[in-house]
Amino acid sequence: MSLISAPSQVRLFRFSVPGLEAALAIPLEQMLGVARLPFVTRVPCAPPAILGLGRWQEQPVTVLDLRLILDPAAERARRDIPDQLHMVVKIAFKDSLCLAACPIRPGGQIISAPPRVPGAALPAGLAADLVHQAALIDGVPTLLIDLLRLPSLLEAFRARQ
Amino acid sequence: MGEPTAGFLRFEVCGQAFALPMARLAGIQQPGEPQTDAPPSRGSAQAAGAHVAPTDLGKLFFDEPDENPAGFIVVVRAERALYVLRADRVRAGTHLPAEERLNLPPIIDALDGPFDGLFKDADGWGLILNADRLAELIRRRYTAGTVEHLYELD
Repeated sequence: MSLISAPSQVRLFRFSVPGLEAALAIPLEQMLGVARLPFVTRVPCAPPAILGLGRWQEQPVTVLDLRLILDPAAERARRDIPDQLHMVVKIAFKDSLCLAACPIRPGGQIISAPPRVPGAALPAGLAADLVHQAALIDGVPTLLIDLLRLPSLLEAFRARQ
Repeated sequence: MGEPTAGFLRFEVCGQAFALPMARLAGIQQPGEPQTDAPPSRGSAQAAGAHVAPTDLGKLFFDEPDENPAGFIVVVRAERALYVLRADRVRAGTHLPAEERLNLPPIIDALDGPFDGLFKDADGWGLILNADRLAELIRRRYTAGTVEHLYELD
């Protein structure tokens, strides 16, 4: 007989994005890597949250502005930042798995957290749509991001155009 | 993604690479050439050789100011008509083998934009245009007033 128990720790990747003060985190299993994308191809008619297409391991990766999704009132990101660091993730979108990348600041780290963590306040002005939970992890207010909600948010962005 | 090896015209708009199937190309003019190749439109008083005002692709695609009035003129054959467009630079016609063409990623595909796929270009990607959806976009933006010029030839 095997005992199946809840994991004692959950592994997360905690990071921050340019232009946003809050620390963000996603489950580590959604992470594929951190990379510098040399060039982001702009896509005509794309909503502002879609910065364009990058190339990662010779595959196209859709580059998203997480900051703009979390704070729609924010200014559009500059695209010409040389050597910008990106977090590469896999997300489910319309029955397909696809690659997405988001600009991040240096200093992201892998952390462990208990399955239940104390709550924290959601910073003012941020949209809660993409946030699974605002939590206090190791004393740091951290927004746990739910990438599964990204497809519906992108659809909403597109519909608004 | 179409034929095993297909001919495309590669061109640039605002530093980005695009490709158009050669089968949909009705003409190209370099800056400074007289526009003598454009056929007259039905019911129009303009005869061949009259000046036409092309739709600027920089404005259409990226809403960037029309800073390159000397750009190349590309005449595209869409389902209903010919469209006269301006691009910044035109590279030579080229073959893009099927293995160099990729499908659009699902998120980009869902945008229903005027493109069919990708090709590798330098460190990034170029976009392969769909002439009919490009024509729809031009007509829509012209009706909305965000594109100043629409030159539609029957």
